[in-house]
Amino acid sequence: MNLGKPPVVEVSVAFWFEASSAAPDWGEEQAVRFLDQFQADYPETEVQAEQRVQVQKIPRKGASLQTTHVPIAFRAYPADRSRYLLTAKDYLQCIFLRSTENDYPGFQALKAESLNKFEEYVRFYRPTKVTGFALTYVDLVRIPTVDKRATLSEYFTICEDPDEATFGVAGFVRKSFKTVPPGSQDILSFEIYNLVKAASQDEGAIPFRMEWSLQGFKGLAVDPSVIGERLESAHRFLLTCFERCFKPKGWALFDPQDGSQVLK
Amino acid sequence: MIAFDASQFADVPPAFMVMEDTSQNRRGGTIGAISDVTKRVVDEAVVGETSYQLRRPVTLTFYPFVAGSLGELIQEPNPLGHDEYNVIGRGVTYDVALADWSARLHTRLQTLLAKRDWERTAEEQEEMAALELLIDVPAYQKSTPLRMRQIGTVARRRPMPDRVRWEDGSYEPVGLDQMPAEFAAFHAGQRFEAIVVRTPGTRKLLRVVHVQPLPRLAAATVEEWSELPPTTKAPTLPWDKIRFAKD
Repeated sequence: MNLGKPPVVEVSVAFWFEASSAAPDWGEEQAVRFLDQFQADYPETEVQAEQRVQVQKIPRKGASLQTTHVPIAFRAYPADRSRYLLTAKDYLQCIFLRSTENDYPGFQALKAESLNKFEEYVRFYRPTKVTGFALTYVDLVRIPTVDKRATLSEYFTICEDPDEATFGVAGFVRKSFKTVPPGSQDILSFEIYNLVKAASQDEGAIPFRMEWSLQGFKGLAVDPSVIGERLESAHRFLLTCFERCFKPKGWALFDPQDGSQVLK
Repeated sequence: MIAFDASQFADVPPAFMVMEDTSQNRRGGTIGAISDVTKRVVDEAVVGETSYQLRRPVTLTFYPFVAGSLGELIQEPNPLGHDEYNVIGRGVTYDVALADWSARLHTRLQTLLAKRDWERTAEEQEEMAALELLIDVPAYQKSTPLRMRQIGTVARRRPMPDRVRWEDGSYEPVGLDQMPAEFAAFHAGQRFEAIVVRTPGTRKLLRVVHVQPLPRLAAATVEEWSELPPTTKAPTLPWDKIRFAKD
């Protein structure tokens, strides 16, 4: 699939692990040491902390509130924020954002990076097993408008327009579902909804955010070759889903370069 | 077709079965927001020294390279409506686009605030109502210091100037730490023009950002006073015939 105007803005691979009972509790020190190994590629670090407030009773004085911040996730990134490496308790995620005007580094680059960090995670934390993985795509699709309206059924196979005479004009559309793909034990999550732009900045199109995620929980192993194969098949499946949710008029929006047609 | 047999999802961790408005559950269960690297929840818009508190936090998502080399910062749809008055920010990074988004909001609000209610068109009234749903305008007005031009005279210097008489006849103590450095050189009786920053509610003096010495006013002579036309010579006009000069 070679698209002149690819809609992808973000792709990520996430892994869930089961920690070994002998492993020390996950915490700030370990997470920072883990991310520090990749400082050359991911020099900046951010932390997400959860605020916890405890009521401490003081005899004859009532009570006081004690606030503590507990780190729950760390993420490292280069200065241009074109990619992220995120770690939380029993969790690792590699995120690529589109970093040039017409392309993103591509699935093979993301797969190589995520498998490399997967191996590093396993070496560092020694988890007993991989409990899940997810491959997620975020796309931004602009549906052209005529007289400030778009007919979704002309572009999508999965979005119908509500009958205007009965229901009125839709101002906001959201559709989401979870399925078990045929012949699979994975879970597909899909969501599409339109974003809203200011009338003054409207360029004759309604932007839609599409998010695809394939999550696998079975048949996994702490083995990069097994995980790599699952990522490959997840990638192929998500591409098929992506193509099949567009009609030819919708597919043409992406300016297919290699003459690729919508899958029949 | 929807299957009501949930057994196919039996082995899926519960956190992944929740259908939420956001992608947080799909992305990573409890880690949520930090996993969503293109989204941030924003509760104020800041432009220079001006800050607008939002009535409720909004989620702004950055979509890189969707407008040529620029990305767009788009607000998630607002359940309260008035989405047609949303603004988008543009820039090469999230932070640049956020600054652009804030500047656009700032420009639109200040343009509308510069007009009185009755000066706004119907569309502007509607836009103002939409902006007021997003921005806490009374809080902005209460928290934003007033800047005004005032003319005064140093009323006391013993040995430092510490009291000012403003043109309206009021006296006000001033501290040198509130004043520009050159004010310390002013002698009693020095007339000056100042840019004064005051609290919006109480008009309490916060600081003076600029002082410009002015020449002393010459006292009018008896001849000058007698040259002024008496009110008895003023023309009489009915109220409804009075014409005011337009801006």
